[in-house]
Amino acid sequence: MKRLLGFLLLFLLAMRGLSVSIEEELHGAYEAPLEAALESPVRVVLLGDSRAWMLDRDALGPGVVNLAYPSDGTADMNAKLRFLLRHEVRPDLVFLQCDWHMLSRYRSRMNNRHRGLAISSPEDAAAAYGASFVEHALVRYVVRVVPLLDPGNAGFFQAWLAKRLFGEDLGPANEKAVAGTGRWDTMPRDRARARIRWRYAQFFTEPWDPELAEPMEDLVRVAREQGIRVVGLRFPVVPEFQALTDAAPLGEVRRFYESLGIEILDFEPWFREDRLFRDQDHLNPEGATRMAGLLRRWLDARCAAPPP
Amino acid sequence: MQFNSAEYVLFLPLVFLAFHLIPVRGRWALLLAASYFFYMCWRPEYALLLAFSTLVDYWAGLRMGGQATRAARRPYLLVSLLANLLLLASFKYLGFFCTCLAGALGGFDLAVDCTFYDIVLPIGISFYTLQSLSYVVDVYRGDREPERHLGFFALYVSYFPQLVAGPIERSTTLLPRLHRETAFDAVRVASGLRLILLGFIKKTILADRLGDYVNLVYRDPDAVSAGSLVLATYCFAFQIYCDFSGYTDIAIGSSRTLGYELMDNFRRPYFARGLREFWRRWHISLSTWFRDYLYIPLGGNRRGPLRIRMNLLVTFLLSGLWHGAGAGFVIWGALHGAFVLAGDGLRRLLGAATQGPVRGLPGRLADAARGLVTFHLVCFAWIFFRSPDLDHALAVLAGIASAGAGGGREVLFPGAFDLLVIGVFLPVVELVEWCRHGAGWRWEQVPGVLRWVLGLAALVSVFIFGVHGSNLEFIYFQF
Repeated sequence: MKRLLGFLLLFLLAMRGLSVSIEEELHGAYEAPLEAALESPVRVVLLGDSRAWMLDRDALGPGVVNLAYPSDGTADMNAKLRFLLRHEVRPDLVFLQCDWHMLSRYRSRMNNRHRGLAISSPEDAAAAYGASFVEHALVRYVVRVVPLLDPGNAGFFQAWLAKRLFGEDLGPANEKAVAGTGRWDTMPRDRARARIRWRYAQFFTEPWDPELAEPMEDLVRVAREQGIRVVGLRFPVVPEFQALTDAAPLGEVRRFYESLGIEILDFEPWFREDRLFRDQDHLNPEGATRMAGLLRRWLDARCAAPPP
Repeated sequence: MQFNSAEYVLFLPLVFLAFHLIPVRGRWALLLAASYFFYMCWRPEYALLLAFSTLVDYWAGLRMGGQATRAARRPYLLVSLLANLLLLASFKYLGFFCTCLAGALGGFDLAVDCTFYDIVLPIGISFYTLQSLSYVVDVYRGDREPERHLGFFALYVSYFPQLVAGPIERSTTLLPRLHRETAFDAVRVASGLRLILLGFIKKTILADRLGDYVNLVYRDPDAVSAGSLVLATYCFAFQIYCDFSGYTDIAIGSSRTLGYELMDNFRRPYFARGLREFWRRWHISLSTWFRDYLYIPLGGNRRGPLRIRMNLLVTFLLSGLWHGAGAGFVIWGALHGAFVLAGDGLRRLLGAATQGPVRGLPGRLADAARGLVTFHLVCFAWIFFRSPDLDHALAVLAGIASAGAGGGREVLFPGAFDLLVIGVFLPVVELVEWCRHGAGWRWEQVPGVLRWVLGLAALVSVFIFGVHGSNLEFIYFQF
């Protein structure tokens, strides 16, 4: 028994040592904007996934904090708002990404649950994720300290190693890091169409998951209780993908967004050019700058509150 | 519940702890409950099929036990065979036969509607059916007494480490072992855990990594280069070996921690120097099952050269069909049968001639050449096994045959990182297998500190180099 315990201790130490390599990518980049938000006055918060993440915080204007992160789901956004409120940061307005794919079932698999649990209190973890006390404790005090104990994080380590050994980009794990490159209009058409078909199938094969709607509903409720205005935000996609999305079976998703009773901004008419996108549903730097400018103009026009 | 899931990583230690804590007389009940729970995690209702098969064979065994002659036992054997094979046929082959019939009748403008057949194949049915049948046949032959304890018999059929993908055990070996009391033995438990670790390395680091590349290339064989197709076929050969032998290692290791040995299923098959030898090294529990319960009853080697060849072909064809209801599996089986027969013919020819193509070469070189040819024949047959249908397999072959033609085909090769991981771990795994099966070498001979370092490195490697996800089933689960 003593030898087994010794072995396990050595194993944990080794895993902890190796985990250092991925801590920054796994948690540092996720938590840094939240910690920064605690340090400076916050007027407006932007919550969303990779589409919102690429908006430059400087271009959004003073007091606007972009907390979006690639793959963030509705529960992750809920957890972030709760994090701010727990630290007594109360913005005047929350921009909430209300894209059609946010409630798609694939989001149940692709999200930042562990990262979100790591920044949550047990109560917030239960409210945002429906996580039990044990799961929260396991993630916050075990996986957070030794991330490689979660096999789901092995991809991050492999991507890190491949980058250092061969300069090789392994894809999904660090796909987020290469955002903002390339232009959709220069991509060969066959490949572009195949990507659109793949994305459409991913998003809209099962477009409605009521379990993903609950955290969003809860977020809006919590915000209202705190007197925070919530404004929905719809991000543009390339026109060809937009046409497909318009015809998708999104009845339940539409009804849900309507039931939230919030204003939803849609700047789609300003983005009917392929050159503004890096892929079928992500803006490139030029597109992101345009989007940030539009948001800033909207804020200046609609929100009378002076910059802090 | 999959072996490579978090649930199993919790399930096995819990069963292990309970097994060693409860009184010995209750162990069979614990293992039986754990086995049914293990099976029902997938689809609870299909446990009824397992129970049905168990009850029929238990009853048939008991009834045969009361009869003095084979003739008197035969009706019960037939009932059991009929019940088991009907069950297997309805769930596994009905759709295939219906499609074949529809195809055949289509030529006469007769339509057959096969859409009624939309049943999910019960996991492990091919394995536990063979295991259960082997008991009935053993009792029929008088090789063993019928098992009178229903609990032990049910455990024999459903024992969770080998329930869904083998090894297919024999009643003459596993049942007596299950009856035997086992005491906690730290050395044996450690040995079982090491085997589980080896299985995880094979599955998560090698098989699933190779599988990513194979899937990518085999998805559209018309669009990729001949080189990619050849490489993917080689990769599949190692993927299926690492996947299935990895599963077997976890099964044997899990069972060993509980004190029950299971039979070996693989002995470095790609080092075989002929197809006959390959089948003595690959899926040993299945090949010996077909040998003992099909090939020998058909007449085996006893009824003249023509009959031997017929028996061999029938055995291989049925072995292919056992894997799945599809033309690809049947062709795979037929190819192996044909290769074995061709090998026999060639051996006779070379034996009779004064000079053969490999005669005169140093023995090791000749062995290497035979091994290389055998490996390539096996890889050729894998193309049919891996392809979802015959057209797809032919597209792969056409793609390979078009080598040099180019024609806008995309070249897909694994990345440097994947190559590095495979290049390091595959030889390590083969070295371990050689130590286990070829060199007569024992883990205990390694110095203590090195053992710790190696064990630690292996465990850490599974976590950091493994491919982990929720959709990484073992290939043989589908059979």
